[in-house]
Amino acid sequence: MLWTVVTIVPVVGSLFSSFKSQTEIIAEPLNLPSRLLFENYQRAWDGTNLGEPLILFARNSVIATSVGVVLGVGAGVFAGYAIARSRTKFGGLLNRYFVLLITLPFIVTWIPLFVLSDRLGVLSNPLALGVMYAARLIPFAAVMMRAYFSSFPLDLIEAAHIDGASEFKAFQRIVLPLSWGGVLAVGLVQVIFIWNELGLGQVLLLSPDSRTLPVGLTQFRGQYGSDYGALFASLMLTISPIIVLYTFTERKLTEGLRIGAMK
Amino acid sequence: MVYSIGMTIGTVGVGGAIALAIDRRIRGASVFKFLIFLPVLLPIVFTSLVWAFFLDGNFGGINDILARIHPSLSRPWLGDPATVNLTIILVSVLQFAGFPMVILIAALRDIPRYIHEAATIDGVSVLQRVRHISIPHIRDVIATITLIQFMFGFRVFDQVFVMTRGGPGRLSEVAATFVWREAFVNRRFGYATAQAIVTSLVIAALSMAYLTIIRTKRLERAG
Repeated sequence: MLWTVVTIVPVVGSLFSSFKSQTEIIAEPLNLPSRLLFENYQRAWDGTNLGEPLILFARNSVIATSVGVVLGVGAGVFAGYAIARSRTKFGGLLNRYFVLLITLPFIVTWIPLFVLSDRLGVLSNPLALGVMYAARLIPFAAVMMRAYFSSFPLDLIEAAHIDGASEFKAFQRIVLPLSWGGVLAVGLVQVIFIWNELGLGQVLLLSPDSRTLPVGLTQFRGQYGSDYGALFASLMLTISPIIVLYTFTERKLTEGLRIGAMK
Repeated sequence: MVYSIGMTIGTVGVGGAIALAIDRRIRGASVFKFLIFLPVLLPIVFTSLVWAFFLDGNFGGINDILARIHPSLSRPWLGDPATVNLTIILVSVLQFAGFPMVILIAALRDIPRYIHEAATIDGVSVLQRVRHISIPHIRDVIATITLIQFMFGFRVFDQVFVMTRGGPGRLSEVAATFVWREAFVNRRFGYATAQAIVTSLVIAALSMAYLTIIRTKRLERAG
């Protein structure tokens, strides 16, 4: 019980603070706001508290996340299905290779990706960052989808073959429509992952206007003069999509993370 | 390394305890589950910034409460060499204990009800049931989640980067902030890459060793 209270202190605390005035935040950090100030949100959204307006960071985050998830899950679903249906040694080998890639720490990829992006001229490009996230997440999506497809009843696919459907047709018409739940679970996990990712973004997004939300937020420096009200409003705006997503998809999301962890 | 071990014990321990508590079907369990898991999904940048503010030595608020209990408890938690690492670990545990919790709750649900019921009829106490039924049943899951949390602990970057940047001095430096500093502040790409690879190899070696121990133990149990 007590644990629950302490765990949600950051969320509740920053929610309260996002409606307080500067003096109130500093004088009484843990109290309820005396009255609701919405200006903080206004200043956060298009003010320059973090160097650039939050709306720009939000746009970059949306770009990186959507590119990363669409490409990552798209490719991962096909790869996962191929591995699940493969009867050769190669499929098992590929699966192991993917598992190895998942366990590879991120820091190993920072420097090569930085050098590569530099050469290709795509530093500070949230779109390119999204592609890299996708590449990074394909093994994860593939392994999860393989687990999901492995339990798919073979009879259904065979029946389709007898009716003259090709392998791809069977996948497209029968397997995929029945597997949307799994795809959704994988997709949700990846949305959350990319939305929150700091390290690689921090490394690659050099120009201030290309930063994603987490990278932008680290630009904040705690000083007496800093605009804390706008900071807390920015924080709330950053996490609100996740809270909404979580509220509506709690079951799917936890299931996705659980399968991802245990396979 | 300290982070990895501290966070593993913290998250698995607390997560496990909460999972067992929730498995007892206390009232409002699903609400607790929802709230404790919520921070797992939030950006580490978010929790770190908020905690860094509340724990600030001058106007953070937490110190005011602690000072009221005992004046010596009030200190700059993230600036004091004695407490910086403990504080970062605690903040991380607070955020991520929900993850082992969810996994362990699912594992506990898989234990057939009748075993508990039979034990209850035989007059076995709650604690004994936890010790002799619940924990042995989910031992494999505990082993897996421990490994995952351990590898996760080695990857810590965001918390340290946001809250202390490795300071005071270099007391809270971790592998990831070290690589970041060497490569992107000091521009020593080669050295930083070597560091990153060595770190990965250490994680891989420790994970392998751990898995081997677990397997041997399992074989021993199977006789």
